[in-house]
Amino acid sequence: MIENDHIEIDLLLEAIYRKYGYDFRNYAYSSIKRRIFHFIENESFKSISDLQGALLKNESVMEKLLLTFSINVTQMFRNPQFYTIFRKLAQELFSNMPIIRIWHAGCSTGEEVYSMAILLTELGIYDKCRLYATDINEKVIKKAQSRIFPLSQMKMYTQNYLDAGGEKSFSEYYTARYKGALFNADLAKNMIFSVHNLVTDKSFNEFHVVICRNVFIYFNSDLQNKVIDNLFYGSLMSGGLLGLGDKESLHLSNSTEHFKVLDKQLRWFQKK
Amino acid sequence: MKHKYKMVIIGGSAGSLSILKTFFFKLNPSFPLPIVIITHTMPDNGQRSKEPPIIQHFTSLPVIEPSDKEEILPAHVYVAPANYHLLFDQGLIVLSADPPEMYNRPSINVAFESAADEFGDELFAILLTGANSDGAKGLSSIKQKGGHCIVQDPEDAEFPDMPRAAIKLVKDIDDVLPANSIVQRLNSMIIG
Repeated sequence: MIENDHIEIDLLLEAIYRKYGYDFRNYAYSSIKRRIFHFIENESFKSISDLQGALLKNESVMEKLLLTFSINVTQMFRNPQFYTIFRKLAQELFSNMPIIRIWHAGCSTGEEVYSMAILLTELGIYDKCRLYATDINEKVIKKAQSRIFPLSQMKMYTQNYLDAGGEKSFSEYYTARYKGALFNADLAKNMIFSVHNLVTDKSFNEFHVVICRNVFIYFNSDLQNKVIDNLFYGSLMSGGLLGLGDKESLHLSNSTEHFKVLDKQLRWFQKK
Repeated sequence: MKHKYKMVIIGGSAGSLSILKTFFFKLNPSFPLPIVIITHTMPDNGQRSKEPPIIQHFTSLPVIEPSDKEEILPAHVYVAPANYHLLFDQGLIVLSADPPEMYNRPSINVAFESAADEFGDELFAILLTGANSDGAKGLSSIKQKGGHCIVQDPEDAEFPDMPRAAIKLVKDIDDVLPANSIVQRLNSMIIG
């Protein structure tokens, strides 16, 4: 027997897709259900169908809900060892390449894109890198472009940076002003920000590295497999690297035969 | 073997690790159901949780820190990773990095509520010692869906707040027992 909640949520996601084109129909049901109920409570809607009615009539409700659905919690140098491994891999694989294209898919507010720029700068290869940073949500992209991150996070980020093998003093990369840390413009010079939807949009380049962390935990298995098998596999060059979140894996994807596991613990994979 | 349950879920906070050690030491090694454990581990900056290897010392059942979309297997023990909520979806463990609930991630309420949705009356839930009130709302959902709920006797708990909060909120808890009797209850499931 299907619960009423389940039916109503399916209908809500269908309505969103038909009205606005955002396709959340294959998101992990248990997580999206929680997010919908949080939203209903915070915005004082009476029920799922009450929300659906408002959302169809009023685009600003959709914008707010989109923020709830798409916010992806992130940090600078999240799981520092992930970056330590990448530092080694980049030295082995990319030293002699004329250009290196890196795609941060689902970059959220951009903390990991700036982390990558810092790491590449310290490796002395940032000038030949292009960092493509995309997210489904225009608001978080704008925030990423501002180069400003909360000053209150800098203590943690400094520790992460050092744990990731950072070679300088982290504070050299930003200027403190008011409650924000403004990161140096140099770091952003090779970043290209754009709105991109992993579910409905196609690839737009061929990449040496694709990084997509803690996005798949919100997709169901079918959707995750589809994005890995089609979009990411097709977007990576042979020998290219795929980096996932620290609890995400490829084991359910058909692509395990297409990817070699480089680091099981820190989730680095290489296209065969 | 006579039982109707498909999974055991255990929530605990302060004081629960020492209970879990004894618990798994005494648990019959042929216990057939999957056991999922949610405890409040300290945020660890990317390190792995300390619980799985410790619990593994006390049982021959495999103790796993699950990845996202990990299949739930019989006779396996799963310990929720630090910094993620643990939920259930179509027979899989799914993780979420959504904000903490009542300062907790993993949150026992989140895991219990999702387990109630997924397993209904085939769920066997246990809430242990702890110094906050996480788990009470979750137990209430499990009870509403017909699951079996056991709470550690507050008299027996090192930190009684969590069991007390659950007993206060949920009127029809099936059993309030000292930790030792809870293990015996699980072991008795597999006799016969």
